[in-house]
Amino acid sequence: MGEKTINYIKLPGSGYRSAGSPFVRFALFFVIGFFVLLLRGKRVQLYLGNDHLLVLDTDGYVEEYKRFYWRDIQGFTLRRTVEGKIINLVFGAPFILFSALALSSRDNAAVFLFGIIATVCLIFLIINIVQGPTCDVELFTAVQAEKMPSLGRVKVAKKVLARLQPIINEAQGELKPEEMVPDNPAESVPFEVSQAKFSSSTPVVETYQSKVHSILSWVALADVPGTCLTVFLGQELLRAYSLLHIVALIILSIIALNKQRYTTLPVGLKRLPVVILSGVVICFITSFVLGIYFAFADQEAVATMRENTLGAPWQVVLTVISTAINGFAGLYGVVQLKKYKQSLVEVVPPPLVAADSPVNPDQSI
Amino acid sequence: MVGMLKCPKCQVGLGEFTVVGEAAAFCPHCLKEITIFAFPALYRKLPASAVQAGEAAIEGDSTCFFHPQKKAAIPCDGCGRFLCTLCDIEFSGQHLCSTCLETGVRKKSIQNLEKSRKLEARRAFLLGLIPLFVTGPIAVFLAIRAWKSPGSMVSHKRWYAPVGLTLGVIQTIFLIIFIIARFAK
Repeated sequence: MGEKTINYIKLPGSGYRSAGSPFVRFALFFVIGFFVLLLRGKRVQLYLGNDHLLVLDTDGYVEEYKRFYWRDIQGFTLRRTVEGKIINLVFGAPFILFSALALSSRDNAAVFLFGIIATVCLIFLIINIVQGPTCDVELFTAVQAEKMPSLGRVKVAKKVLARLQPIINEAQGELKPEEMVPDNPAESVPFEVSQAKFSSSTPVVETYQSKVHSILSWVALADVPGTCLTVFLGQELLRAYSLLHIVALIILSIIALNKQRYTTLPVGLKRLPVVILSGVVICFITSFVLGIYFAFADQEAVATMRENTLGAPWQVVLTVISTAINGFAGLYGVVQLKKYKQSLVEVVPPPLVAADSPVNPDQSI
Repeated sequence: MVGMLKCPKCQVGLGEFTVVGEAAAFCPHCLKEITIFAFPALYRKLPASAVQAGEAAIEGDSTCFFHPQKKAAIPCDGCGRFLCTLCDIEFSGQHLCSTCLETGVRKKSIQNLEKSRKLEARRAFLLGLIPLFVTGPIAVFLAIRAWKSPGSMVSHKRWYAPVGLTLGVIQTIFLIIFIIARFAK
């Protein structure tokens, strides 16, 4: 029963099998910092065996193996994602911001600090651009669909799949023409590369029934009257309200992102929590950076800002922008959710019958 | 049954299609373009006779060890027992009985059946690197335990255990010196 040790060849690519939305982890970065890297999950790598593909999950101390034999692999799907673009934005925006601050600052220490931060952001940005667009790849067999987190970049995924294709085709042999005939030719639709026609397939997704998006929309919309009121009611109230509102938006956005997965919610509404969360994060980062800048560059301005939350012009601009983003996003969410819920309800009104209409003779006793 | 794949994000079926190789499709739900790599297995049905009950034995025939009323079809590559078609488990080019397969899993002698491995040598090495005194004896213990263990299936670094043991011993020596010096005072 002894067999030779299998020699595995490592395939390009490496990823992490993590549970939960990447947006949640991104949001948590602002709460627990770099410790969010501990939530990445197990590292996944692919290896080429003699008669199978080995998927290796490891946390550094235990390795777990899954084998997919060539004869069992039915196919792969590759779907491009927006994560790469988001990462570009996450590093690109701070790079532009800190570069501008470094160039406009008169203090050497501030120039040095902002320059370092801008350089670090630039390095990560270049790495992300060089790696190329991101994607999701899944492997299909007759009984399962397995995600391939290590093939998270289109370049790497296509390289690996190009390597696997001839091996799998050789192992499975050529398909005979009679094997391609569907069981029900009348129901199936042959599809060409550029003209895909689909037979009606029952989606696995569920109807969206949660109220989180509705609450989020109203809370975002409430920012407009809330900010207007607290501006006149006092600085302390304004600060407390702003803080509570930001926390509420972040929490509701994260919950909404999780609730909307695999639901029939329209794409526009699915993007709503992303827009709100992005607005909050960008405004928070901008105010943080500008606060640091003024702490180095203009001490008097800092004192003024402490006394009056809307004392500086940039604070006013930032407040107006964030309130506008929340207001428009909230309004959009409220209107679109109403339309969506109306589209779900199929009401067939009963036929109107007049009080003195003749009785149907067939129904008479 | 003609091929049926799903969108990786929405899990919505991409419809039935008849193509082998690389092709493009659009998810009807999220409207995203999806590249499909289809293989012949997507379209093949299992043959009707894939699982056979085993042919009944007549007088004079060799019979299956586990089913005396069934005709033996093949000997087990592990133990040599005769097996009927029902008992024959074809795995990785070998024909095995269920007992040998179970033994192979338990004793980890069939590499293709191993589902996981502990990297104790790596743990010993990492603990040896952390100078916390107490990690020294633990590193020594793990290194000795991991000395003959197979290690990673894909990239076994044989120097983990000896280096971990060395570092663990050094830390343990320092720990002992520290304790002696402390009590000597």
